[in-house]
Amino acid sequence: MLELDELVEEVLLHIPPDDPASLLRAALVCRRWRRLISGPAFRRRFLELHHHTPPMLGFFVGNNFLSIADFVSTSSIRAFSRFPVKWNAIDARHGRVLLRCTALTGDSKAAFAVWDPITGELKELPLLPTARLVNTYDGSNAAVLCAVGGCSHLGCHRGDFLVVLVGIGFAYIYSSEAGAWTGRTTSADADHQHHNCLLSLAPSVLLGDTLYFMVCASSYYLVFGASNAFLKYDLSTGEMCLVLLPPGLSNKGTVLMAAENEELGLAWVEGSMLYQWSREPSGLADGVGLWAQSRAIELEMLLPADAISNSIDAIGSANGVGVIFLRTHVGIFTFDLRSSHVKKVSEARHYGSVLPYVSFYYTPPRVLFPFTQ
Amino acid sequence: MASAGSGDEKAAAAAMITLISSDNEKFEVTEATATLSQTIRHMIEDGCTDGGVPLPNVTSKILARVIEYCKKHATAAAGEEGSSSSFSDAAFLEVDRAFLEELEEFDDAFLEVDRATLFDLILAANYLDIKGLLNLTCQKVADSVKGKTPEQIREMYNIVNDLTPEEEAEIRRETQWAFE
Repeated sequence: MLELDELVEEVLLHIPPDDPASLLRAALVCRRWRRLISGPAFRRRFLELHHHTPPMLGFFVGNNFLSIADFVSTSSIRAFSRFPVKWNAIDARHGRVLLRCTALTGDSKAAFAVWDPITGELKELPLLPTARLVNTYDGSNAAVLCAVGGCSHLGCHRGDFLVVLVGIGFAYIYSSEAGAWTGRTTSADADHQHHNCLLSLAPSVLLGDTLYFMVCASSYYLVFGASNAFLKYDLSTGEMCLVLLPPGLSNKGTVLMAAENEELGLAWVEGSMLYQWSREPSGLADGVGLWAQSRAIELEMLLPADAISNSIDAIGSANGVGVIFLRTHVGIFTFDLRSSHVKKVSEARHYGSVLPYVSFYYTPPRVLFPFTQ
Repeated sequence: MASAGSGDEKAAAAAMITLISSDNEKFEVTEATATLSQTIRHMIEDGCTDGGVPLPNVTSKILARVIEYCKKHATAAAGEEGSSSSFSDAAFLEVDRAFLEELEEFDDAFLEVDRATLFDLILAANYLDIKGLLNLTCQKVADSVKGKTPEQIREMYNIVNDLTPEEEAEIRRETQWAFE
């Protein structure tokens, strides 16, 4: 029984991508199974069968308003090894998590680090070539992304990456290949109305070559004011501009997301209704007329009765897997945009945004090949 | 030439194919049923089905089950195609849902077989290249592995552990999270 390699392989390929623990336990059954699972052919077929769509393994979430450090699993991974306390997760993409130092002092060696939750590897970036950007809450936000053009991002987590630090009117890009930061003079937005804007701490959305960051009004004692705009930063041209949200919306409770048409989308909750808006593909100007409501979902029938209140918030989205995170007073729920399934993923009281970690689980090679060097 | 071609297609739609199991039993099936198998589809396209299609890797017992699956799924596929133009959207969705539910029930019942038969079905689905059947049967076995310890999997499938204690300890240490 289960003696033929092809039979074993076919079966093991059907272990869902968000259940890496089962796959890993299967690799411990015998040498043959381990050899099959760790082979390149298996990996290639596994990706094919699961449509090259990485699963959400979990998400990072804040245990206070200003830091995101707790990991909540939505897969069979119980926990990742934790990153040191002084770091705070601010972005996650292409298998990497971007960390920012929470308490930068004069003798700090790094303000940013890129962390691989699967291998636990932490790479500290050199300090910025400017003294201005030293504080975590200086009105900038940053994104991490794979540096390789045309990459499928299915196994690039060990390759070269970029960290893009953006504030209103300035940008710095770190290239792991060059090992250095480069400052970019950007065509700062001339609109004087926004001169006191800051980027909010909500994670960015990457679509094509463009990063989108939510904007908030200036902060007083770390209480951020509301704003009605987000920032669009074009990586290829270095241009940035502020774009208005649809009338009546502010950054508070509005989540930027990738819509199904690969355009920018928005999600927010009003009462018990979840609204989804998207930008029309032809929309090149920044006018509000180009937003269109694409969906309105009544959550009352989907959420358990005790979760329904006037304080439901959309707090994040997992792009690529079509999930929106909802915070209620009884915990955090995920809403699956395709199936409309709602699932409670955390009971705890969490703050701020959520940072989904969407990736295939890559078994560290040394684990499966410890004696075959 | 064009009219001759479409005439051939019409004839082919009603054509019957004979499948011959490893123990030499003959099964007559419609082409629509047979072509759920990519392997047989290619044989038909290459015109090598005269006198029957020998399937030396599939016993009559398993072939009968495979044909049962293909018949059901071929009918469902034809039904969906036929209904799409003649129903309004809402009615079509309703019909679609009913089809899917019925098919799901069929699949669940179909999988109620012993382990040896399940493995034989996987091998047959693989050999005949019937994607739906392969996914269905493999998923069933994969689900049985879910959440099990390596020891439990070995016991279930009579597998001898040939990893050294050192190898096992090493993997376990590195991937402790999977075994908590």
